[in-house]
Amino acid sequence: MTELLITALFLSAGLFMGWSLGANDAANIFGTAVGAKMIRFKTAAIICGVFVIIGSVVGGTGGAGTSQTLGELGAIDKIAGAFAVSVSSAFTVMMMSKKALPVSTSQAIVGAIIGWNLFAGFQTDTSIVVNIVQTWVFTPILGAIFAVIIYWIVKYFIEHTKIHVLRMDKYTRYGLVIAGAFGSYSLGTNNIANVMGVFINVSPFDDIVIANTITITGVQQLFLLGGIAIAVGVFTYSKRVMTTVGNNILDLSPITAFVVVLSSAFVLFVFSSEGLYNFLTARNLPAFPLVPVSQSQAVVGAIMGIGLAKGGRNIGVSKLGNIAIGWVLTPLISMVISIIALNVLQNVFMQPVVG
Amino acid sequence: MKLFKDRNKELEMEIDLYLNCLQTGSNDFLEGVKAYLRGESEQFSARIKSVTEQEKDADDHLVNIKYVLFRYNLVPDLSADILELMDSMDDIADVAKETLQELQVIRPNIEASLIDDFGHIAKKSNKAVETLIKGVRIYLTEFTTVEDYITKTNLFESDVDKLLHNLKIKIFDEALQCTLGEKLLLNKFADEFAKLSDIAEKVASKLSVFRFKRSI
Repeated sequence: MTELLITALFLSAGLFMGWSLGANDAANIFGTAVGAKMIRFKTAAIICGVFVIIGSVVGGTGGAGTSQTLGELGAIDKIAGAFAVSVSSAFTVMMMSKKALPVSTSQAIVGAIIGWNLFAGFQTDTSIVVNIVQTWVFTPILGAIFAVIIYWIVKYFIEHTKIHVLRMDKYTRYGLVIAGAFGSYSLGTNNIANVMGVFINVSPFDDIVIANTITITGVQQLFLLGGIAIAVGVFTYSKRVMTTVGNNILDLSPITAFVVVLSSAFVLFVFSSEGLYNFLTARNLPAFPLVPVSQSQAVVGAIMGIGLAKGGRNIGVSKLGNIAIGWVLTPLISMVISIIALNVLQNVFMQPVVG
Repeated sequence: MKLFKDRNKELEMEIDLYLNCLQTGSNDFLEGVKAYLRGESEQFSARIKSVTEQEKDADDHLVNIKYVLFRYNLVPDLSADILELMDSMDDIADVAKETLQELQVIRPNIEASLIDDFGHIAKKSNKAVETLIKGVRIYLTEFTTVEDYITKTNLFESDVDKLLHNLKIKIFDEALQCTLGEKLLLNKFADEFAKLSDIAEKVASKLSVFRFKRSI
């Protein structure tokens, strides 16, 4: 019983991370639709919650997913170590958000894992770090590329079809719901690694076999828990984020928001789709590495892409600088906090953090 | 699912009928003015009756449009734009009716030398309204070309202003054998005839903003 409680306590760090992710990132998916009252918050939250869970469990638990990449970066083998890593990155995100600094859970978790490597005396595979950092840099760029393409398609469609303004309104709603569902699925698939990835090697769950046919693996149970935590974050706190804190896409028009949501969803999807990865590598084509990336930064890239497609107007170049600062600052802070947390857990609370 | 319930047809139809009423009302105004200038009292009375009916129908359709917009919860921003557009166009029917009714009550004596000028102002005012209504219909379906209609509406309004100015010069010319009271009355009716084009211009500038808001 005590062991169960300790396990639950350690897992709570990941659940908090999931809750925080749901609370913040749902605003990037449904912020405009809910803000413009195109979709009721309850409807948006249900769609977002359901698809995040599906993405986490179905898309996130594959053999070579984004969690695998984090696992290769640092194979945390003690649940207390995983707790310290998770809580450090969650604390970094919370602290930097409070200071209004650009932050991403993906970057925080990577920094914290490197911190664990340093604490444990393991060498960090620099090729994986380089791969991950390249992906971070490529995220807003790819967001912009997708946005330009989708923007041109949507613009052509709107300008060359005589659709009544009222019907266009209806199609925009459909579009926002579909793009939102896809965005939620991609968020679950890509970012579940940030929430539960560090707990994979120390998962307390055993495989469950139902009627000798369906097997629910321990990782799937773990990711289901993470997915539910994200969904709870969406239900309990994202409305507040959407309506009071604001976000990158709140002020966009519904059609532009559709382009942004779809573009960022594609970015997260390509960096987490094993199917696409296998398809490209089987044909000796360069594949997108399966790395957890920042949805907010994909959104910023997409918004800039639209600005470029419109002829270079309203491009907030300073935001790119902020993102670049985040690439450096977030992992560094998270790494330092992780080392401190691991020290405290090991030397104050006498918990084994390294196997 | 309530989200996907289609109420658009109902609203599209109401807007269409509303614009038809405004167009017919504006045509009645022109034909009414022509009948008055020609002294055809029966025709004139028929036009007043018709324009009154159109104005009432337009009001009914506007109420329905408001009801559907509020009841079926379109995007608030779009609802507000459509409502503002439709509301501002309601003045067209009101002014058309009021001008003809004032003609019926006051019966100003329009000198033969001024009849064509009054007729031209009424005609160009009607043209401005007609072009505006076409522009509004286009805005609802194919908004990229709406700017052409806005420009044309403004051109008609500008023509009306020129015609009005010239007419006023004629009215207050000493050669015109009228009392000052009669001249002031003619001046007032010249303004009334031009009012429709002013409304069209105001609505056109709103339309221009709404068109800009729709472009992505």
